[in-house]
Amino acid sequence: MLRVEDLKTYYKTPQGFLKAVDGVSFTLEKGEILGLVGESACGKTTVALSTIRLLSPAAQVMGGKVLLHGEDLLEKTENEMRQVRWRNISIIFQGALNSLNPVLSVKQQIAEAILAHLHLSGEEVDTAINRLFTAVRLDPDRKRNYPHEFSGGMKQRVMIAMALACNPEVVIADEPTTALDVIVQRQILDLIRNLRDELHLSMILITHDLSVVAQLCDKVAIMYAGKIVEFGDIFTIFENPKHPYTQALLKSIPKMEATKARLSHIPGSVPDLTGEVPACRFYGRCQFGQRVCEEVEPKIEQSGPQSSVACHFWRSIEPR
Amino acid sequence: MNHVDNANVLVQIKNLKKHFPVRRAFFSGVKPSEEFVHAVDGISFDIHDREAISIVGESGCGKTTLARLILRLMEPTEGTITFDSQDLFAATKKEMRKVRVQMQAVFQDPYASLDPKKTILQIVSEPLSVNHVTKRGRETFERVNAALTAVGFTSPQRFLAKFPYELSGGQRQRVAMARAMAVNPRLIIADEPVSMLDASIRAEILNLMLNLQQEFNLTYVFITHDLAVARYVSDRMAVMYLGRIVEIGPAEDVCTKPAHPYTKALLSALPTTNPQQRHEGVEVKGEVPSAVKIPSGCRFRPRCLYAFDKCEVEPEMIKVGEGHYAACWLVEKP
Repeated sequence: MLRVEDLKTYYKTPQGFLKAVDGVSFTLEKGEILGLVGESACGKTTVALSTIRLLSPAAQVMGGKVLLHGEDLLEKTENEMRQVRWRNISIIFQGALNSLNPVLSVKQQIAEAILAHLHLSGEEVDTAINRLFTAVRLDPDRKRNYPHEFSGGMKQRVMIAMALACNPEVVIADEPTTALDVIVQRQILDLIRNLRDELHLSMILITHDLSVVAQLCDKVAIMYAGKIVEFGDIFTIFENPKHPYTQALLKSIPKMEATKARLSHIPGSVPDLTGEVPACRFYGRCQFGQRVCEEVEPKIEQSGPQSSVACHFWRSIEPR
Repeated sequence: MNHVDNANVLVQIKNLKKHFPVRRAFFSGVKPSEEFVHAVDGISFDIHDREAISIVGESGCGKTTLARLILRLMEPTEGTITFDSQDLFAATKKEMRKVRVQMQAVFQDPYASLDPKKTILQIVSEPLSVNHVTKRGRETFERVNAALTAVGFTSPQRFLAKFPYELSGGQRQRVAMARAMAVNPRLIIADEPVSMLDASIRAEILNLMLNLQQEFNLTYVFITHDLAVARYVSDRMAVMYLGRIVEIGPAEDVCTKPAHPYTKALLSALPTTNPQQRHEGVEVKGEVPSAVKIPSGCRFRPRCLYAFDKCEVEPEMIKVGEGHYAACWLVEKP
């Protein structure tokens, strides 16, 4: 349904182009939740913003395609794009809790989003908002309340309601539970899963938190320094990761089930993406790195029936 | 807490309370003295010498206020804290200065907790000069070098003249650790030390903190919302809810044999990295009430799935295992 092909988005900086997203490809099917995971500055949010074309002026899409039902969104005019946003693809922004307008009631804010895209009467809008509130398990009577009257979890529900206002096919959620406490986080994750089932939504979940992905997603793309290093169905990637980065990342997270076994960390830091970067961007931090990794970029290749990986040595390295 | 421990007690906290007055608009009709946020509302526990104890809880439970009270960055409404038998809130300035060198803090955000205009040398040497630990420049310099080496900088000289912006997040948090370590403290209070860091760096800092504890016989108080992190780094764990400790005990036991319904709810809500283990729902109802209007009786009662008539009386700490206590009537043996 949504296919991103070889997407390249660079940021202009005084030092030259910063290759924030450098050749990213993935597909999203109907009713599927795809997790886009990686650490800070790996380019995951830039992928999302490129997809719906809300990039900051400093960013430039240098190549690639974003195909929604076969139509390339990158070739649409700004006016056409405005019709796609909210109606076809909507986004729940990172830090959404603070992005509600404090001086408007939430009803006014959701109505504004609806009326910008659909021609509905006041009554129809009212019914729509009631329906949305019920969908996100909020009391419709509270729609006239102002943002400060809601708790963090409820504000997140309002943001989700707003993203659903124009019946989109695809919802992109950027760190939707990051600022929330565990109990509220669990409730929001449950809500997202239920909404997907009820409304047959397709979703891209952007997060740094592998456990959130494990709980919610069907497929996962692991990003590192602007590239997808591993992609596949959730069970394959979490149970049998092939890429050294995925393996190391999974080993670095403290787990409730585990005993006091020492965690391992990934030495070094992410390369500077403005200058010359090694052909394999994980080279330098990778314990399996060899000369070829510095010179030849590993292509993403099939590593199983449901997975692919970008590493020269994925066949020979032993997980764990 | 009424339990007796043989381990040496470093910090003893008794019936500690901190209430903040609620500020209202002048014309709201509420007098300033009428409403209080009960941030810390009657906490008693001991911190043993050379142990790592975690204080876990959700935002607003009062865990940071508790940390600030132990550091005496604020005065309590009620209660006492003794550090190595010295009553903190009765201590004179001179006495306090002696205590201060023995306890240091590491904060959450390594981007905000280091002065951007100071070099690493200035940052790490500051506690030494402020507390008059070292008198000569040469001595200070050596202590700074030693502290930076201890936290894993292999060639500290290269970093001394750098500014925080030149360092990565993990390096900054190591500098924050070095600053705390410079005065050879006995106690380090770390408020969410890794929650701003990426997973790959988080493990590095946690391991570093564990190594430093071994090497320098440190006592840690970890303030964290992350139960998995708490379990990894600490010997004991205290779970806070609305200004009170509801459960305390060996970290392993609290995580594997939780006794308080709130601890159980927290654990059940925790996402795991195993996609085979997906579960839905939380074992709790409603939302955290405001710390201004604390529910009567057991403060978890309105949200508890197991509440019964006895919960109208505030429960005491009841022993559920070796060194393991929970404030819940359900655990009471009939």
